[in-house]
This record gives sequence, structure tokens and C-alpha cells, in this order.
Amino acid sequence: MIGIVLVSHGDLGRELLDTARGICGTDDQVIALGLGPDDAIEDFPARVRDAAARLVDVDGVLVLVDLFGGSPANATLRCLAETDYECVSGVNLPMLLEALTLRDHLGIRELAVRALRAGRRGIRDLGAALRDELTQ
Amino acid sequence: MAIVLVRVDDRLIHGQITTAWIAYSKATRIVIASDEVANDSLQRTIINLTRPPKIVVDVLTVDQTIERAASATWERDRVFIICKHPGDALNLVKAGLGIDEVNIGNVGGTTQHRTGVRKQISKAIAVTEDDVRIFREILEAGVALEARLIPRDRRVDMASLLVKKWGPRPPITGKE
Repeated sequence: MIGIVLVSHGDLGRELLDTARGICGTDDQVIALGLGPDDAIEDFPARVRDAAARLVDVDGVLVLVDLFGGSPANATLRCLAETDYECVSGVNLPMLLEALTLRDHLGIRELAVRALRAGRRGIRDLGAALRDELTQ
Repeated sequence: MAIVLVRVDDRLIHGQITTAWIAYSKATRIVIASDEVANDSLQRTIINLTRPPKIVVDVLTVDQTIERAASATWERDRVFIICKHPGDALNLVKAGLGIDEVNIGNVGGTTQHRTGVRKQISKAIAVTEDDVRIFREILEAGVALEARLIPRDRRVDMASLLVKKWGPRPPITGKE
């Protein structure tokens, strides 16, 4: 199974994970890590690596990070250069659920691609979609 | 060439925070003025990958920044300078670039790995004694210092904050 590290500003990752647990139950080999306004940015790449190191018996590490261009993602990019983690930014609930559901069945590269697609597919204009349906 | 903003932020360019300051200052060019960053090729790669759209970003040493400011390269630019540490900003002030104000964003933070003791003086600012000395030098040069994470925050006057935390005299080091 692929281990997952959720990296975010503040408690966003923790809250997403708690919510996902409530939906699909699975929670082992997933860690959430947050950067607070008073946390040193210098330490953060090491904290991401330490979190990944705590995952046990995993076939790879997928990092899901909140905001491209934000400090947590920039620090994660440092880790990516020095490890073989995969990483997808813009983590949302559909992305996380997809990753949690499929991580026993896929290799890390495919999991990253599927998670990314699920995240994107989850963003829809519901009003327009419903109006379309109703006028058919 | 106008230097429209000088900011000390050890997180450098990060997301909406930087975008807000770009809009506020109407900057056309960002210059990261830091020897540390200029010599870190991985950091430069990351900065290039994540740079905001529609703005030029230079990563230069402090000396290169001073040279270019005096040259014609940035003639038509509104330049937003980001320093990683307060010392970089002091060196720019001393170089006579006509800087009359420095904005302070993120400085330091709680850490297991840092040498020296940091004191948290506001949500995003944790300073060493050296930082305090540097801030005082900037102020003594007649440059205003204000702390603000984003433009719409209330300006916090650093001179008053230093007095509030340490009184009007430099911090006692125990060596006196």
C-alpha cells in the first residue's frame, strides 16, 4: 500500500483527514502535517521527511499538499528533489478519498494520476449541470 | 526605476500573500535579494517553477541587487525587493538606494535546529538579538519599519514594538 502525507497550512490537512475518516474509515499509514504562522520554514522540509519516515511497510509515499505556490508546497518541493515521493497539489476531499480508496491496488505513479483526476473531476458547476438535466 | 516595496520575509514568494503585495505596490518586477538564496540552486529552481504569472522574478545576491539598482536595467520597472533576512535589508539600506521604509513579514519561527535563541514578538516574527540590533540600525538610518503580513492588515510600527518588548535600550546580553 502507498503511504500518504497530507501537507497544508495550519489544520487544513488534519481536518480533511478527519473528515475522510468519517466517510471511508481507513486511516493507517496516513499522516497530516501543518505549517503554522509561527513555525520556522527552514524546518519544514525535514518535518515532511520525518512524517514520511513514520509510515510503516509502505511501497511509496504520496504527498498531497494544499496550495501550489504556498510555503508548505514550496518546502515539499525541496523534499521531492531529494526523495522519490510523488506529490499532487490542490488537495480536496474527492482527491483524498480517491487516494485512500485506491492505495492498496495501484503503484505510486498511477495513484498520483488517479488522485489528481479525482480532485479535478470533483470541481463542477452544479447549478449549470442541474439546469441542463432539467431542461432535457 | 522605482523601488516600490522592500519586504523581509523568510518564506520569500508564497502564494496569495505575494500576489496581494504585487497588486498593492503595482510592482512589475520582483527581486529576491539574498546571497543565501542566490547560491541555492534548488531554491532557484523552485522559485522559477512557482513564480507568480505576468511578473519578472530575479534572484540576486545583495551586491548584484545594489549594482543593478544603479544601472539602467530596471529603468522602467517598479521593483519589489524581497529579503530573506533582516541583515539583507540593512545592507540595501546602507547602500543608499533611497529606501525610506521596510515592511516585515515572516521572520524566524520555533525550531529545534536553530542556533541562538529566538523571541516571538508577534504571530509571524521571532527574532534573535542580532535581528533586534539590525532593526535598530535600520531605524537609526531614518528608515521606517512596519510589520504586516498582508496589505490589509493593520500596520504595526516596529520601533514601538521593540520598545514594548525591550524598552528603549538594547537587550541586555549578560555580557555587560
